[in-house]
Amino acid sequence: MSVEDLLFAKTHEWVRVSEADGGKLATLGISAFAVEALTDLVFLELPEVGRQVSAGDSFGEIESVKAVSDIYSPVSGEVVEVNDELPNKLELFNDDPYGAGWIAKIRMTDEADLAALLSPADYEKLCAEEAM
Amino acid sequence: MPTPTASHESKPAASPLLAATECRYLVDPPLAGERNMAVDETLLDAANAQGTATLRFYQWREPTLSLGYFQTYDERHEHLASRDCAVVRRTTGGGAIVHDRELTYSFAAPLANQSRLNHSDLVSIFHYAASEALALQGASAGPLCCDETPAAEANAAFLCFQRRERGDVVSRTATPGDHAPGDPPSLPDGEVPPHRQPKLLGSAQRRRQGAILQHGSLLLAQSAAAPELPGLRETSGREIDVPRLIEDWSRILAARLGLRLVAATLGDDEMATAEQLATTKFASSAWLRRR
Repeated sequence: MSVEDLLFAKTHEWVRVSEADGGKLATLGISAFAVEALTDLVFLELPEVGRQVSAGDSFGEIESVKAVSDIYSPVSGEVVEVNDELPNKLELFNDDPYGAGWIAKIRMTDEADLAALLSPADYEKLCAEEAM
Repeated sequence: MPTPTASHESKPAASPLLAATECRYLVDPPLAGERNMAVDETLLDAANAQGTATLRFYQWREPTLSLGYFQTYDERHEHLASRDCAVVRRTTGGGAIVHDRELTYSFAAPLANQSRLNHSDLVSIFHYAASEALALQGASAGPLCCDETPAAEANAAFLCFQRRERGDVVSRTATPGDHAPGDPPSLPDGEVPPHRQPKLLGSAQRRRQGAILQHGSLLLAQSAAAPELPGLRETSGREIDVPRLIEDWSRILAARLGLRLVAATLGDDEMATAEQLATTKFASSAWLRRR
């Protein structure tokens, strides 16, 4: 899967949008930069399937070396699927952050949410500024 | 308490970490566990919503076991010495802590860079400042370096103070003890390697949008509810003067973080919010047993 197909939130979540059942389906995860910056991920809490989220809502939590952080949904919609395997295989975040390390899939209700997200190039610039 | 900066002095330079130059400073009386956690969450909300930074020192009304956010409630049954303690779940990560003969700090502040993810440097600032403040009372303690930290021990033990991570403050006083299997043969008699020197201060964090809550616990003395953990009294042979420690620690922190400390109390609205959070969240079975 190509990173070029993704959009990114400033809070380091990624989104891949596909067509499904006549609507838009967003697959979400956290970026490779975030995985590296957080270091040593130890716990993940997934959202519940069926939950309605708005763009910017916390929809999951992750612990890394004693720091608990929220994971924010970059889009609005209904959580239709979660990666149940992930909490017990956190190494997938490192091994395949944009593939097997996906967190949840959301049936989008507002495509306008995508306009607020960053292209891969713009996200790379954001990460470069943070690394300075 | 630290002497507030006089009004004619120039404002401190803003910390590159924080979006604040002024910080409320609270020294609270001992409270019940659910109230202590509720106040800390209220401070995080104030940091996130209003950009208010707060440094707080407090103790606990009764010996209390605090579970890390992701720990399961049932794990507490495996630690027999603390079975009679009150228990509360934190919003921060890490292992369980027996809050008895210890001093807790919390710090909530708006972040300068909201998309920055790793704030371990804030832990380092607090831990180095604590080490310096303790040194002023003759207690030798310092943060673990990375090469002193065996990764396998991280996150394994139930108690926070039985875990070892880079930056945790450990006693630097030579600790008498027998060599254990695996200790370096070159180790002088009567000393143990750094990773087995008693941990005295550990901290944990919670991020919420543009703000961070960090709190930590400093072991002043061994507790009957955690007899496996020596504190500063046992490791340094000294009684720590807690008010003086708070004053020194705060003064050093204020300088490092570029903050002007202002003595304060919680506002009425914050008190009401904390009271409600204590009752509806931190004292609830749903929160305590959520895992």
